[in-house]
Amino acid sequence: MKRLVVFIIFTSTFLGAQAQDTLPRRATYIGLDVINSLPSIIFPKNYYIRNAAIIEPYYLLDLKKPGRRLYLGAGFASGSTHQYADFDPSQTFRGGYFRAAYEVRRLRSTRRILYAGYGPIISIAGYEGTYRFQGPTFGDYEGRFRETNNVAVGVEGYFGFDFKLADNWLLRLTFRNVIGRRTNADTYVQYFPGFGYTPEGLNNQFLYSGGVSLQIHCKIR
Amino acid sequence: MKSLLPVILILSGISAQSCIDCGPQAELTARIDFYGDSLKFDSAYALSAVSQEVIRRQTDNFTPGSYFSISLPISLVSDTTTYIFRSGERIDTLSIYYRRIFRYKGGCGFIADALEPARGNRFYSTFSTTEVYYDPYVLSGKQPWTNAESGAGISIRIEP
Repeated sequence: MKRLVVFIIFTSTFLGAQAQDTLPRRATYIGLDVINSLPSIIFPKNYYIRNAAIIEPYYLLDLKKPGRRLYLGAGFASGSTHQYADFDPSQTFRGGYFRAAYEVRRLRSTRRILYAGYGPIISIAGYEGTYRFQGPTFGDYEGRFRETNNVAVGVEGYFGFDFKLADNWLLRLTFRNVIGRRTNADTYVQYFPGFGYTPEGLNNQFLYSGGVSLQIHCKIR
Repeated sequence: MKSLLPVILILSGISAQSCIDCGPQAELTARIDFYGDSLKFDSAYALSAVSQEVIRRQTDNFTPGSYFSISLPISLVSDTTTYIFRSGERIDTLSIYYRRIFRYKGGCGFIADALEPARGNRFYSTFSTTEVYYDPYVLSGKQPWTNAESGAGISIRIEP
């Protein structure tokens, strides 16, 4: 929680400093991730998460230095994972996260722009589920697991392409990798909001994930 | 060299999986060894059980001798299990106490284990001699790749 406060103060002072400087007119975009939750709704049986609502708004701000950009994102995810095995049951998760990044871009053509960036990510999530041991003689044992206010902090690196759809519209295809560490790792988490799927192992403490994100952005300034 | 890397990764993944002891991940059983001048048991059954089938299958084949061993399930819904043994007119009672552990273990998922109770009785018995040994059902650490062992669990030595 302390980390979150420091993070918010840091980003808000940064934004405040930018707002004061109005001399050059720099572009600002707001965007939304459009495909993140689709596979879980279209293929609930085959994808690793099911019926998940993932909403990720973004804010892009050109910095004073040419070709540099500040990238801010928030997110909310709620849904459940697949059951992997009898003793690796489905988990219902819910969480929110914030990310920020410093981005560098290179013009490849007038319609396609390559960019790369890195920055911190912080996520607060909870998840729960039940597991069952068959007891033919004395009856089944059903156990519940639940973790709330699980905080994960990490670093995200990404690269991708901007495609100019129209004058004010931007399509962003991002390939991202993220590593992080979380608190209270009593159980393995199959999906950590903001981080995504993490392979098992590494003491349940470390999160590592990679993925693709497709966003649509609209120029507001 | 590049093409070899995935193969090494997969092989190390397989060996890492096989070397972890997950325990039974089912209803646990206590091994009971009867020594000495053994009785001819007519039947054995467990209190507050929903089915005696697993026990009956073993007691049907009782053969009197100086030693025999049976594996009786212990309850996953209680920290104690009581068995009744009948031998003609004689009826014996054995209660064992333990501490159930359910937790998540990497590579296994959730596991079930039973350990020695933190305090209080370990057993109650009407047999002349009873000894209860507690070994974990789930061994910690890595198991050797060739000779992986599982935890012995609770074992009980009884002299009628």
